[in-house]
Amino acid sequence: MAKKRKNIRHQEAVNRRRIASEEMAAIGLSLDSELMTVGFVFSHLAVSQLTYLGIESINRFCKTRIGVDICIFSQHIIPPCLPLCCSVFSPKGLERWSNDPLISTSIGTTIDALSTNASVVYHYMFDPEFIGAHHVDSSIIQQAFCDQRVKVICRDRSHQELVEAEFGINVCGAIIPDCDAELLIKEVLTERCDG
Amino acid sequence: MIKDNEKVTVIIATHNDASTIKRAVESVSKGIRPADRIVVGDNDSTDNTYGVLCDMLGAKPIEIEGKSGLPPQVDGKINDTQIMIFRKRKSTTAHTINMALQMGHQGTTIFGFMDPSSYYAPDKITNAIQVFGQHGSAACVVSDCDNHHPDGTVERVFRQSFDMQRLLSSFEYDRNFLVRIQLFPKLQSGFNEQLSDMEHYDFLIRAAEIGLIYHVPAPLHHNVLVEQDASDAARIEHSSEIVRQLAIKRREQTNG
Repeated sequence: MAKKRKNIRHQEAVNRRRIASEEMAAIGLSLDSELMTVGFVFSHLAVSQLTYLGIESINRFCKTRIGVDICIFSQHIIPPCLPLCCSVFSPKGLERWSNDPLISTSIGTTIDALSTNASVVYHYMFDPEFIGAHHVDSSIIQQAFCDQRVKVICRDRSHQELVEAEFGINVCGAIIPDCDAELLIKEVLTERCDG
Repeated sequence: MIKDNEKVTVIIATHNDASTIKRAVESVSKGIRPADRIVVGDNDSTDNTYGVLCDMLGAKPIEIEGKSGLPPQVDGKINDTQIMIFRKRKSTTAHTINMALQMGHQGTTIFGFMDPSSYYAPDKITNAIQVFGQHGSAACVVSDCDNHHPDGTVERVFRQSFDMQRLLSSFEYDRNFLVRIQLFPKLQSGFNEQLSDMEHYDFLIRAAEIGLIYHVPAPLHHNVLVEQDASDAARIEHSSEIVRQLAIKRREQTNG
């Protein structure tokens, strides 16, 4: 009787499946998960530390990860400081946003994000803008941090302590430096799966 | 001491800073990662700042043609860090910094700049080296600071990260920052010697036109504040306005 031959293609498929499931697990998803959409809301995309590092990490994420579709919303339409690998929309696009995770990056963008149907808005506080923001209505600042739908993520432990002391809220425990898209998405999706 | 492949030179331009210069120099020669070299240029101080520096290096007065005085340039070591001090006729701070840059450029990979009334935290240089290592696009590293007020209170200053529009409308950083050496050929010049003040504002705007200014959200240096009168504030505002106009002119030229 002839010896049964190994199906190399099957083995390759199994390997590919294993690698894909590992990659998706790295950002808190499984192979059975539906395609996720995550939105980032920026004030503008011109040169700044936030936009430069943010776009750089979003582009890296788009090139290396699967299973998540990223949309960027920009309040001001200015040419971006780096070429983008994902779609960009004006704030009007937020009107059509469903209940997918939305990550805002400032007080103004959090207010815009709160006008959508998103059940949770992740306010990634890159700068403590509320310090010396005398021109901004205090109720707006309060809303951007204390609204029940807002979860604040900070880029430094000192910012976290500052926000907790200033607004009496519990800030997300994870510290995410440099607007790292992968860490932000992982944090958001993991929290979504858990809760 | 942490090992790395960088050679960090810290530049200090002094003018009547006798009471603070020793602390400033010691803060960069000690710490987790001290500077490899310090260059201090004295801009014709009248309060014996240069004498204090000479004392630190043990430099003795010299005699030339029957006249005795401190040597115009001294090399030495403080806490195992090479230090070079020199004095020059009074001119702008930018001119003093540029002279110090020329004297300290050999082998340097990162330049640090320092206000003589301030002092670095022990981990400032380490943090900057880490940032330059992680972010190839970072041209300059700025940070938060602790402000020491004349009444003795210490205030943690939370600064905003770099944003070009914000930087053009107001300047909230200070003279204590570090830059990569690769920035200078692209800038095609050092600090603007025509400016009597706020030359660091002009330098940072020009640096931001080339690379990223990376803000570290940690207090990595201490600023000792002095009372400022109305004329000082007006002079600073006037210089800032000139810097902004220069930046706008450059932008128009580039776009057009």
